[in-house]
Amino acid sequence: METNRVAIECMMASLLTGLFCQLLAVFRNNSQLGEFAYFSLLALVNISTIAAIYYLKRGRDLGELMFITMGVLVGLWIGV
Amino acid sequence: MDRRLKVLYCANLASFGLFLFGASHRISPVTWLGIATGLPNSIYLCAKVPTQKELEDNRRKELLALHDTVAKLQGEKDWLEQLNAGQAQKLLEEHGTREAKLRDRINELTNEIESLRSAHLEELTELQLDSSDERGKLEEKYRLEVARKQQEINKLMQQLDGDKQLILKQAEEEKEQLKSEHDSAIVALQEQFEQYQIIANEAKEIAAQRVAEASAYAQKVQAKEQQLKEYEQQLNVKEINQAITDRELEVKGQDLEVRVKAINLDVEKKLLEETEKLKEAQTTITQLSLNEQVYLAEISSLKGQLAEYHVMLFAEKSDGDYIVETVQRLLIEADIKTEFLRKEEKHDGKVISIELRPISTFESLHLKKTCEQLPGFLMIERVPTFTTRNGKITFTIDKRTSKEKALASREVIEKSLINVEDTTAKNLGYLIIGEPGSAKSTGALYVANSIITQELSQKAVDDLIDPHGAMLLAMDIHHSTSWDDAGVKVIDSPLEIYEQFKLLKDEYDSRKPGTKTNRLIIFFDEMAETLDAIETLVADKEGKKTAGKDAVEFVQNTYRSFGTGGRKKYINFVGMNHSYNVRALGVDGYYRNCFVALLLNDAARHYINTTTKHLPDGKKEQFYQWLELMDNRYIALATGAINDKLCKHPTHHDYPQIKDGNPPKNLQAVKQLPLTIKLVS
Repeated sequence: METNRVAIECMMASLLTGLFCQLLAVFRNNSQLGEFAYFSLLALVNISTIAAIYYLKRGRDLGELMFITMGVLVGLWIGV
Repeated sequence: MDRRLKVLYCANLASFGLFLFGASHRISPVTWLGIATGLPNSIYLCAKVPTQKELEDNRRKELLALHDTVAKLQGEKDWLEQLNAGQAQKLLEEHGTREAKLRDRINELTNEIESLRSAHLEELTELQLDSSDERGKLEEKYRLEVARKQQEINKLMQQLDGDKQLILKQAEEEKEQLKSEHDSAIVALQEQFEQYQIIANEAKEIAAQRVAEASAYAQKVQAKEQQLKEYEQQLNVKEINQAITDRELEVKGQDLEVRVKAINLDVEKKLLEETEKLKEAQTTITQLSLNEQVYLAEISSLKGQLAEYHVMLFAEKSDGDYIVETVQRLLIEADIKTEFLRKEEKHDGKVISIELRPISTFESLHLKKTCEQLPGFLMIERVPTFTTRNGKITFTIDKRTSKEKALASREVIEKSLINVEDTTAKNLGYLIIGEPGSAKSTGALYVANSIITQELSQKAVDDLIDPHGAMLLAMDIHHSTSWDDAGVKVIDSPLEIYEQFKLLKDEYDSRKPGTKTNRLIIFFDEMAETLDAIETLVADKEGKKTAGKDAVEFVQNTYRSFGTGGRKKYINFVGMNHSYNVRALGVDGYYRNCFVALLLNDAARHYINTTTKHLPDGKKEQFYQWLELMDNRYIALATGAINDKLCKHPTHHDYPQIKDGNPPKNLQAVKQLPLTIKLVS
């Protein structure tokens, strides 16, 4: 078995998005966060996650960026 | 790949699975667990697992290393082949030289045989000529010799052949051995070479792949360049377009300028209209401000009305009294609503006390401010006082002048005055303080008389030989005539006073409890001045500065001990001085409290004005009133061992003003006993 770096990054993106989604859900359930604030924060968090991981790799590969985006989308799908 | 990383990767996959499971089944703890384990693991793996680029770099480095080793082995192989080829040549050459040598030797031997045979034939022919016998003998001899030589030759030939065979065999063996070695080396090298060939082929393949990638990239670059060229062309087109649009814009700008001018004209017109409107607005604002002032005036009048209504509300109860109404109105302005309870007038209506009940919460600061306002409304001199007690506010308005007030309280103060006799009960020493002419000396005699005539305790009666008399001794450097008039022994020289103090000290020490003695009253006038004189004179006499100081200290210690212990030994010290301060008397504050201090005239005034901060306000006010009443009259104040109290001047209380030469009143002759103590000669 060969460890795949891109797979790890995808997992990390997914888990990170999931974490943020869970946290935001907690705040939303406590009524500390309105609808608009919730969705805008969700969008901000996901974009920043993608950007952070992509720049962490110091790569300029569009394919890998797509992989990370897919990971984030999976996290979003699961978390929301 | 590192085994540990593989394990972590598996763990990460498991965490991710956990996260997916938890999220899909909405089991929050499982989701959190998945995130909590997966995230740190992912971050660690991201940091540790190499990227694709790093892997390619590593592979490239390995290929380069293999290429290097192949080149190295190729070089080694060439070198070995060269080495082996040289060795075989050398062996063949050696063999050739040996063979040539042997052949030379054979030729030599055959030549020798030929020469021997020819010689033998010649001899034979000669012999054939000489004799047949000899010839037969010789023939036989030569035959034998020839046979022997032949045998030798044969032997040599055999040896040579044997040698040749041996050498050939050896050479053959060596050749075979070398050949086999060479073959095996070549086989091994071929095997290695084949392996390297495979690796090299792989490397070549990878390199070819890279080259293909590079060529693809180059094609991409070319395509990009072409695109760039196209863009450049497009840009050129755009520039031309830009120029056209610029021209259009210029035309439009000109149009716009014309339009702007038209608009400016419109704007100016509108501005004029607006300024007119603004002027109108300003006039309306001025009107409004006038209105506002009117409204403000109305508001203030309404406030006044409101206050009046408030007053009217309580008017029935206050019977329309102006003072009460004013107080209540001011209180309402200070947000304190009150109900009138009672009004009381004293001292011919000059002292009015008004009792009010507060019906709203209030702060005493507001009350104080109201009190400060009141004099302006009620035409009075003094600020009224207020007290809040038992849920009532009591205002006391005093319309009297301070003089009137003092006169009113004169009777009370005079009742509270004490006499000198009231201060003798403790049987202590005295300090009589006052300016010159304040009747200190006569006061001291009065004090001595009151000490003697006081009602004595049983113990005193027992201890004293004559309880109704006393030995008197005066020490006065000014030698006042009062002492002579009273018949008191006077010591007036400072040095003698000093000596007398020594004797008095002995007397003090010699008096023991239980032995009967007579009372001794010592008068010490002009204390500070005498002490200064003693200091200088003793210092001059002894020739030492410290001696003077020691003497002063001795005197001070002595009269201080009279103050503290004289009560039990019936020695009463009566000191007189102009100043009551510590330095002048040499007695500090606490020791001063061992004496009864009688402050006369200015000393009392000074004391009341400066050192009565510790006293309660009522008492202080009483003191001030007394000073006002007794202006330019003889006054006294008792302090020190007793509480501060106003006192009647011992001998001059009744005189209406201070005047030199007023004879003392009420001064009775002191019953003197003969002086039995030691005296300076």
